[in-house]
Amino acid sequence: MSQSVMTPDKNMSKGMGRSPAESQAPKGEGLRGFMSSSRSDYLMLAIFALAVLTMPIWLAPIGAGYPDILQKFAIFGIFALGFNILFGFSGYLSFGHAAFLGTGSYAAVWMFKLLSMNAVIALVFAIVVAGVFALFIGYVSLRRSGIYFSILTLAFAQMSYNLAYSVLTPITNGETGLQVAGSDPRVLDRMFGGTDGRGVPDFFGMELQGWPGFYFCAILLILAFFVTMRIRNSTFGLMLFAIKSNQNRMNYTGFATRPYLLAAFVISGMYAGLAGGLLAVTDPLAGADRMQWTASGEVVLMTILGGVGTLLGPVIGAAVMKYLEQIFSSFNEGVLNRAFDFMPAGLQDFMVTIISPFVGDGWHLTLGLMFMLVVIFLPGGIMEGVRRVSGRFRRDRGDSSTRSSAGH
Amino acid sequence: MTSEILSIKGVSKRFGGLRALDDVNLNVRQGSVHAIIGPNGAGKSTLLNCLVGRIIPDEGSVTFDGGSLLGHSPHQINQAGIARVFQTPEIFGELTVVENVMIPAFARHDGAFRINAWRRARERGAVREEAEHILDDLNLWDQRDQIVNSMSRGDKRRLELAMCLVQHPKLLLLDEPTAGMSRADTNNTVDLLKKIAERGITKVIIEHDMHVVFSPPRRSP
Repeated sequence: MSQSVMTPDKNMSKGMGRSPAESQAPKGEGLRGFMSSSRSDYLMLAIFALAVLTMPIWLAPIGAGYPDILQKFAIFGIFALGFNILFGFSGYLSFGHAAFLGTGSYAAVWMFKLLSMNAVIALVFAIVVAGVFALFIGYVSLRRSGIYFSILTLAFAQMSYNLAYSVLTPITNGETGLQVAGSDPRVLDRMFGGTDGRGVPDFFGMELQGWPGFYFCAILLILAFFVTMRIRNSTFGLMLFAIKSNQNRMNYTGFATRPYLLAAFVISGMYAGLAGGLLAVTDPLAGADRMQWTASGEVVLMTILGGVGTLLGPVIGAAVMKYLEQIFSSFNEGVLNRAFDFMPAGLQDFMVTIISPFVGDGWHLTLGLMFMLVVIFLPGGIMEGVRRVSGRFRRDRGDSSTRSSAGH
Repeated sequence: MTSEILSIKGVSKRFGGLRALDDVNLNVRQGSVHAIIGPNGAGKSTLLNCLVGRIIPDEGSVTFDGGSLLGHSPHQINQAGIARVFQTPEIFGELTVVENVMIPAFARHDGAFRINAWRRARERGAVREEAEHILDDLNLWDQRDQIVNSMSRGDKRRLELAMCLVQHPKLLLLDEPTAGMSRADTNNTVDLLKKIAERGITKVIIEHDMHVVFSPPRRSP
């Protein structure tokens, strides 16, 4: 039925006898892994899950082995993962994603106040509200592309921020921020007699503070990572990468690109809603500052720092950023003195003087320098650095052992 | 009787003071090959742009396969069965060759929009098979896993042609398919186009190289 087109090339006969469908030649891996095997996906997921769940152990030596900071790693990891679905996959840079983070927090706290301290209800509501909000903002913003899209999202986010401080004060409680109180109705909790009025979010009886809070966030991070992985390998993910590559061709290829982009926008808004909800779960308080443009800029930084369009990059970027913000900023001269204790006194003073501007309040300086270095020397982020190192390592090994890894 | 698949009637387009198209009439019969010839700036590409929805003509009508094309967006026109090869290859430079061909195949299978956010792209066997078949036909099979940006210009054009053919279009528009090609590549392309003619796809070719339009059949060695 399908007639074959003959090409004038000389090596035509080579391709003739074999139907492409039946020839099972080993297929190389696509750049983004659309062609990667599902086995390697699950291996990656398992390693990721293991790494996340053992963070308390292997991050302890650098002073990050306590639940509060690890919760932040996981939460902002989810936020950055979602942001990357839009920015990394489809290339649309949103400067207003913090609006969805804030919306998620407010939605979750309202559920704590009205229905129940159960985190599941709050998170579901946070995701739904952020998704609906993203649908609205995305629908309007996606009428434009490029810098205009970014400006529109920024405008919407700043508008939300200012509304939260002014007109929407009855919902957001303005500058004080939205908090849970003993007098809240909490209808479901009262109905089932479960309330103790302490106002600590729980997961069916398990209070989500400290370590349980971290593991709760960590499991959701692993789930979010898995979903992102599936999206990336799916047809939908391929379309997003194609839009990033050449939106013009997508149109002439018969795709309505806007619905795809809107879907990506809403999905990433829902991730942000989940992250915002989790912020409220680990600390039941929502303030408008979560919606400010600096917070939107932060997630852009995290994603670029880690590696735009990669799976792991945004999570690593989020962790690095939160580490600098939370731990590095608390270093003072005392800590530095102790760190350089092994040096002779003169050298120790010298090192402390040199390094002290970069720690403590100066952590932004370190972040800025790091960001500059990454953008200049590793445009693909930390993940590109990892890839380069492992590539060199593999090449060194590959020279001696005859490409044994080619088969899988 | 062969029916007319495309009919352009009295199409005019003005850019400011410049009259790019002035009362253009063209009827294309099913299965035929039309060449539009003219020097640079004659309005050939403008006419093509009117067909694919990039430009809306000031006057006139364009009917394709019984329906008007005017006012439809490029993706709707493609879904109706018109595929276009651009003067400079419009392809997905950061993706692999096989992905480049799978994407238009998905457009044909899934329509303009369908969320398939869970199922893996590679598990869509039928789409993959189609894409691989076309790659085999156009001798791009060996390069299937190559990133497109690293390919030569001639290969990129062949790939773009493959991307159009995988959609089994009713009408194929080719905008100067040999522009910027070496003589050898041009000859290969001419042969390729002749072979495609066997598929019975209606074609409209824009060209200012008379060699391409009037070249005698060349036997492959």
